[in-house]
Amino acid sequence: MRMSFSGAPEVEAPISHVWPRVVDPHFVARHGPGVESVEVLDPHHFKVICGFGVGSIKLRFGLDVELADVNPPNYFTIKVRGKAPGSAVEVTAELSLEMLDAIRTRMSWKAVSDISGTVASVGARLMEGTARKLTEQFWIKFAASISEAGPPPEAALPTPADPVSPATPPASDPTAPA
Amino acid sequence: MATLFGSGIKRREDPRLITGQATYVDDVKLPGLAYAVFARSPYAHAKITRIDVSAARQAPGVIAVYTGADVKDRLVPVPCAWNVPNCDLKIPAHPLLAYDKVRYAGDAVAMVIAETRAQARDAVDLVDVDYEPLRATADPEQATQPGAARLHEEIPDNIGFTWVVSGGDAAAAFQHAEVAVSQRIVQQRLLPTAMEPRAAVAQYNRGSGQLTLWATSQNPHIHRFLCSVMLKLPEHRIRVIAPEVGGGFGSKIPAYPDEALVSFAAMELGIPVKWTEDRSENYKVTIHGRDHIEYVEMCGTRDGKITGIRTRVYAGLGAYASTAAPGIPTILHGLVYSGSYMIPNIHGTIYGVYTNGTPVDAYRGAGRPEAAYLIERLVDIFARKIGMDPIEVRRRNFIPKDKFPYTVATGLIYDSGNYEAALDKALGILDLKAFRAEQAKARKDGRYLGMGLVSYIEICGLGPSQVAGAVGFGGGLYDSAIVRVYPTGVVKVYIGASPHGQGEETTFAQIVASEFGYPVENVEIIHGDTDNTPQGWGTYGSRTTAVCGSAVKVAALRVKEKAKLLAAHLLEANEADLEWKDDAFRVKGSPDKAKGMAELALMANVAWNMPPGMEPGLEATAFFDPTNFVYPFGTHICTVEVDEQTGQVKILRYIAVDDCGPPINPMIVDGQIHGGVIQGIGEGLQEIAVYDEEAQLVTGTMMDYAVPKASQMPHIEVAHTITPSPVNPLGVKGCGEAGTIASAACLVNAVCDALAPLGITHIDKPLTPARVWAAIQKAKGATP
Repeated sequence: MRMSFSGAPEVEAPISHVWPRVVDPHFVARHGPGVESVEVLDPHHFKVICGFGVGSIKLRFGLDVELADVNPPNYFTIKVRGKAPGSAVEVTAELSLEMLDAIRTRMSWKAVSDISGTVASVGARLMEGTARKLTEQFWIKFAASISEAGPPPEAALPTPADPVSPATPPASDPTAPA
Repeated sequence: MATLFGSGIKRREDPRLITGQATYVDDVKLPGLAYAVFARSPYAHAKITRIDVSAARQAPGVIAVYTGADVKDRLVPVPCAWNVPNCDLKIPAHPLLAYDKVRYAGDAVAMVIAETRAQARDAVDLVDVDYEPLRATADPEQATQPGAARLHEEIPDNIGFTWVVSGGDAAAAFQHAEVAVSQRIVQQRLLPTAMEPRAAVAQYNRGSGQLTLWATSQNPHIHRFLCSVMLKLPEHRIRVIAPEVGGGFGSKIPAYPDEALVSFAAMELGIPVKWTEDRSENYKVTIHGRDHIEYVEMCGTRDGKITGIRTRVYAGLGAYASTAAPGIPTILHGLVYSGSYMIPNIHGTIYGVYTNGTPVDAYRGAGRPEAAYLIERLVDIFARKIGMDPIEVRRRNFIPKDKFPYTVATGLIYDSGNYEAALDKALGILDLKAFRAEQAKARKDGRYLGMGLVSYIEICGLGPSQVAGAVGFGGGLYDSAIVRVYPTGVVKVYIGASPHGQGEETTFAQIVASEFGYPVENVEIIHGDTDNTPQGWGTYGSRTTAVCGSAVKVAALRVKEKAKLLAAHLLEANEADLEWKDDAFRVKGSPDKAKGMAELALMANVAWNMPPGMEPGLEATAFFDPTNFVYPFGTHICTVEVDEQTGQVKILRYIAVDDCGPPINPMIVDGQIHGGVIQGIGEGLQEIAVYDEEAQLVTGTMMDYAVPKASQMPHIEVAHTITPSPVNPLGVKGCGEAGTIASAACLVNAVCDALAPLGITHIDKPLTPARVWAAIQKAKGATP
């Protein structure tokens, strides 16, 4: 089943502080629901193990996470493909940061997820509510903790040497319906 | 005794069924039994890029893991057994385990065999498959559109067949018609939901080379044959046993990969292997029913004469062609477009469409409920258009009772009927005038009452084998019985059909006991084991009593014929001087000189004093092949109240008048009608299998798929008319599917009648409150 969510919370931090946090897999993972481990393969490619519960179903997903179209400090897209016993999930998301003023940043995000298998056929009725709750909680906590965390360590700040992908439009999703 | 045939005695099978003493497949326990669990695709459509079973193989208790690559060259794909002729039917291979591509969510990719069921389930989670998802659709109309996902390389438009039924000249009829109506109708996918899911236990004896397969089967002889094909094992090496089977509704007719794979594992490993579906698996991989998107039209005169019917139907087949699938929306659907009426011009185009859904096959009524629904909906819509009472329209178009046997435009020959009698009887029970008055009063009060009526026919008692061959059915449709009388006079009857809840252990015993002047306790009916029953074709299509029951009757008469010769010999009387009276052959004029069946059985079995040339023993075998189908019919009436504020439909009364010929056991007939009506009401009110845009089944549990509950069901007022069929010696028709065929249409007709003041002519079933409410809002011009 397909679900789409979006939001645009305001973060009480300058954009220069927000960007390093949103591309730091370990920082993101601390707030991600059910994240058990993060393995960084390269700065844009992570393997994440995370557990979900929908109704009576508890699942551990192995997720392949890839950042693309990275355009610091404003924009990137995320592609997530994950599998769990009898189930699968695909997420495409994008995030853009907008400087509101020197100390405030707008963090706009949208995500489309496709859920397949047992979790869709058994948990469909509960899925939308659960996913919405998890997602909203994540962004609220995430936005708050970026402000609380203060400026990131110097090393984490982006430098001109960081690889930046050309800002091409994301490839069309092969699983989208005709 | 003579009244045993026709008496509503209690079902003899029930005590063991309701006291936990019955043996179902999952109750079969064998020494060293291992358990199979399948790894199934979460995707509805995807390429398999990698399968790694190494972790699963090393999991505790695991004995073996098989993938598609392991079995594809050793086993034959699942056969489709109904090759409907005169069309371009394309049957793509249905591998037992998918190896290159999965085509529906639930398609199996690996089988794990372990020492316990729990170990097998745990190990299945370790089967690691990489998929490359592809676009998917479960909508049979969308799947034919350009650019739709293609399931099978060789079928670019996903159209598995285009089949046309035609009689008269429908194009001309519509061109010159005074009135024509049309409607798009969706007949939703349904989940058969037998109380017992499927299961299989396979045991192979390497010494004798014999495979025994306990399986949830409606037709063990067909399963023996189809397993023989898949396993490449000769038929005489396979014994299929269908022990107690907890309902089927068509879902236990087809061959599935699972039973064959379990057999394969038992043969490979030399240990017995069991597999039992859970409910989620049942909903995902056991066949579904219906799934039509229909464009239907009816034309006629302003004075109510129907002159034509025309359809274009997209019938979903699901991902693969299941065993009988091509025959359901064609032979069992298109050919009955005349319904109970004289409709001279008929044209239907049926597209069988492959989609990324679970395969669709026969579900209670199979093709005929879809036909009855579209015909009976159209009659109501047509009647509304010409401003005539739909009851009157039906009367003006009924095939009159003196026209039988009657050949309809599609070529079927209806055996016998008296449609108006059933209609009148139902109307009498209702008290139409009183209801119309109540309805008029309610409308003034702003309440919405409605009455729906359906005068259905069905084609059943499948059927003459010659016709089976002509319509491409890959088997015969006769059935068989051995009536064996033991020395003490008690009788065992071995039948080719395979009852699984329909009560033939009672009704067939009534047939034999009536003939033999016995209490019913003296007769046992044995079924469901291919090693001791004669070749038969199973229980489906309301055929068991009409066809197999007739074989029982013929075999019993053969036994009686021999017994009479023996009685004449023992009584030293001329055979012509004997008559059967009460419970014995008696010499006419000297009724004390008599021989009953028990004594004759003893004398035949000991053979001390046989007539010259007569063989010992007392048994007979009969294979009965009917000369035609039987065509049960009836009228159902439903009254409802629709809550305008919530869209809730409340059934006020449900009246069922059915004619299935002379009932052998009226209580069992009524039970079959009850069950059928309830299943149809479920279809009409609330059952729907929902797939999302990615062809994921989102109604995969009984919390999401709304099987009717006892508290929701109305009291069903059942009555009968009796019009014997001339095509079998019992005169019986069939009653297993009748209720389902009539009731969904009846309910929708009632709701559309209730909402007529709002101008509503049609709402697609199921009539959930949300749908009805939305239709009301739309009719009122509001945006729902």
